[in-house]
Amino acid sequence: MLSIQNINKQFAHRPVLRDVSLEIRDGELLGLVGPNGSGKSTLLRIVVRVVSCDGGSISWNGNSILNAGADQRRPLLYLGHEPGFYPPLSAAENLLLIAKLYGLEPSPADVEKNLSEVGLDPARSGPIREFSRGMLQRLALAKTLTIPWKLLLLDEPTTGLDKQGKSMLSQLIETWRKDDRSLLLVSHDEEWLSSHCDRMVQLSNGRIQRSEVDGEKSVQTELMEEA
Amino acid sequence: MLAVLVRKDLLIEFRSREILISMITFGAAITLLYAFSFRPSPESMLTFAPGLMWMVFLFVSVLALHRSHSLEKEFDAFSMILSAPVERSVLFISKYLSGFIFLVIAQMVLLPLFFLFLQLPLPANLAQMVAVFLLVDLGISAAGSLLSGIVMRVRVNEMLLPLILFPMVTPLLISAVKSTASIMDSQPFNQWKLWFQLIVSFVIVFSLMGYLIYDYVSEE
Repeated sequence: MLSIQNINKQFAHRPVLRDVSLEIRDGELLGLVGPNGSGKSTLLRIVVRVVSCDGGSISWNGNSILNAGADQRRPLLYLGHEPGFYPPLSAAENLLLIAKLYGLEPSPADVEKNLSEVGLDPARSGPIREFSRGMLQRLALAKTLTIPWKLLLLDEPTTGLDKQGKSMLSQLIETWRKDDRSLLLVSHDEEWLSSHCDRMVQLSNGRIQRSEVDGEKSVQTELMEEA
Repeated sequence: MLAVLVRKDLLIEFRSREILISMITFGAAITLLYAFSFRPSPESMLTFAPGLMWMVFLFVSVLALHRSHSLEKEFDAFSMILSAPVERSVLFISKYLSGFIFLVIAQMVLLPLFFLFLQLPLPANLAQMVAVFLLVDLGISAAGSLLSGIVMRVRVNEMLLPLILFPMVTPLLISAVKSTASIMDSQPFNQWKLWFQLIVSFVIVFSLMGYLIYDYVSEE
């Protein structure tokens, strides 16, 4: 279980996150929505320690992520808004490199299989600098098949994907749901998110404004509205 | 993990050839400029040469440091590395080592050109010269990798890096120039021992500092 407690973050004295607390249970698919600049991406980046926070704590199964060694991040996989690859390398080389960073040694055949599964040509050896946004997004999805993660943090995963790509992503999400893996999804597309997530949380001005379970407002939200 | 990261930097450079080509082209151009601008006596050239030489290598190293980190930024690969289970201290050492390797390769091409075009005699004690060069390269790479990590997320980082790096490595460069001049003048080690000790101290301080604080400076 991922537990986020009282996270605060300021950029240049401007508060981006204010006392944000969240919990993601094992096997839960949590959707995070909110307008631009509400702090959704920042929260994801804080969880994987790309961005530092000014206060609060984050733990995975009771072990702190913020004050621990790199090994605590091993169960987490973050796919950001940007592709997160090296442009001069090929798709297969990028995947192999990322696998090695997680201490894995996949065979070239495994990498080729993962590339084929997301609809990329494994024989293509050119640099990914020539890839379109949609192809990069598919390559990012191939990362999820290569790394044995327990919690996946996805920031705007549908950006650049065509209809076929979106449907492939939906299928992958359903597979992950069956495997009892946890997901934290961030998207502007509230309709798409709500069709996949068990619970939705809305961030606005760096605060959690709304929390819904299967379309029903949670007790926490009702209390917030009464206040 | 360190080997994986250093191999990654070398493979990227092998594919793109962006860093070494720009370093060597820029260094060769300045060397030629020096060669055609100065026509002093061989004695006075020996006095000027070490300073000119290290000026070239300082500028060339900034090119390498900046390009190496901007490649990390291009598709935000740096965030991918930071989010992976990789110790940040290991990440610093990998950047430090790859920066050192690029600088040594560039010097292997540029130094013969420098000696040829400026008609300098080869130093009698080549081993001392090599030791000083390797140590100064380590110092520049240590300070440069640490500072690049700090400024890489800033929008005007290409301007900020030299602005902070140059004053910071000034003690190292003065020591490098003094040591190189002494070696080229065939002075005994005792006479320039202090400069050598300064270089060693600089390398130790910045290597340790980078190893210890990169975890904090690499996060946004």
